Amino acid sequence: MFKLSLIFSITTAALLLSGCATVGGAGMVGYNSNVKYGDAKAVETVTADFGSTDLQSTAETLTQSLLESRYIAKAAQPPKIRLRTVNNLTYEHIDTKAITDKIRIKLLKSGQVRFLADKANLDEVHDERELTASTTVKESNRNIEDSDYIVTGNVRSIKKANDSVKDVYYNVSLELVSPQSGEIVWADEKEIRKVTSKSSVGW
Amino acid sequence: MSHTKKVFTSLLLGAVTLGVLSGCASKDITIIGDKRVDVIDHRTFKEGNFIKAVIDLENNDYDKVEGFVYRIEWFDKDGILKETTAWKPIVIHKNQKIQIVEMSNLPDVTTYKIVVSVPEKL
Repeated sequence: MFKLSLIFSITTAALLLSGCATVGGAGMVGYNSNVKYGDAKAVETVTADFGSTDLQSTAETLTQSLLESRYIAKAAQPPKIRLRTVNNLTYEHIDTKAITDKIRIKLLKSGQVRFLADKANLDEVHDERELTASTTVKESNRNIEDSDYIVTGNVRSIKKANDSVKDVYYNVSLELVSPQSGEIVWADEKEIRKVTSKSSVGW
Repeated sequence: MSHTKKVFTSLLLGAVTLGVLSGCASKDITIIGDKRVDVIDHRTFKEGNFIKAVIDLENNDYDKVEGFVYRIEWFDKDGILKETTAWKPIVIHKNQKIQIVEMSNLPDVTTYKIVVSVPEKL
């Protein structure tokens, strides 16, 4: 009798435990937790700081403008572009490389331009070439291609607040510069205004 | 066939054609939520290798529409969704019209769909 009730208890416990492990069904773990996946492209207004919506809309607007510029749209061959620094001149931390990386992805997918390794990954390129090139062909390290254009820019912000309203204005400007002549062949900007009323949470 | 019958048949055919055409056009627009924003016109043209969509929106309400967002879905010739823009916020003041211009950055895109999401009036 004791043996039977022990087996029953163990079986029940095993069933309950296995039941807990599969909450939510196949392919789901922690279905009942507070963590949920959201739309990565949804408009986000949690705070007035530079956020994902600003990053996405800036990249889309400036990519469209770049693709329309005659130096890219009317080029006989896809021009070679190198990303340079986009300066963050605001008082908050903004990863400006996230903006240029997003623009680079969009431009590469368009097939209208070619990108050369930028400063951040040029060291990796040199390392790779050091590893693969024999001593006799190390001269080839000098053969890194020149860019037709470089992309530079600035992110600026103006913040104002009174007792009831906080206003933040962002300006992201990019330039396409010919390194040979120093000529700025294209420039455009994305302006963003965010207004927060005092009753809102977050400031 | 009498003359009246011929005229009637032509009118009927015309009406059916118009109905079919307008049905096709409305498939390109989806409005989610309050119907306080109208897509009054939308058209495309080629800009180099890419298509550009021009969309005219109108606020037909007496209050400004805040927090309303839109996005464009870009499709290739086989109807495969190639890319979706981010949702973009926009404000239209009362009884005003605005124009949105969006360009696809993928060369194989041929058609598009506009999705507008309007929050309920507070």
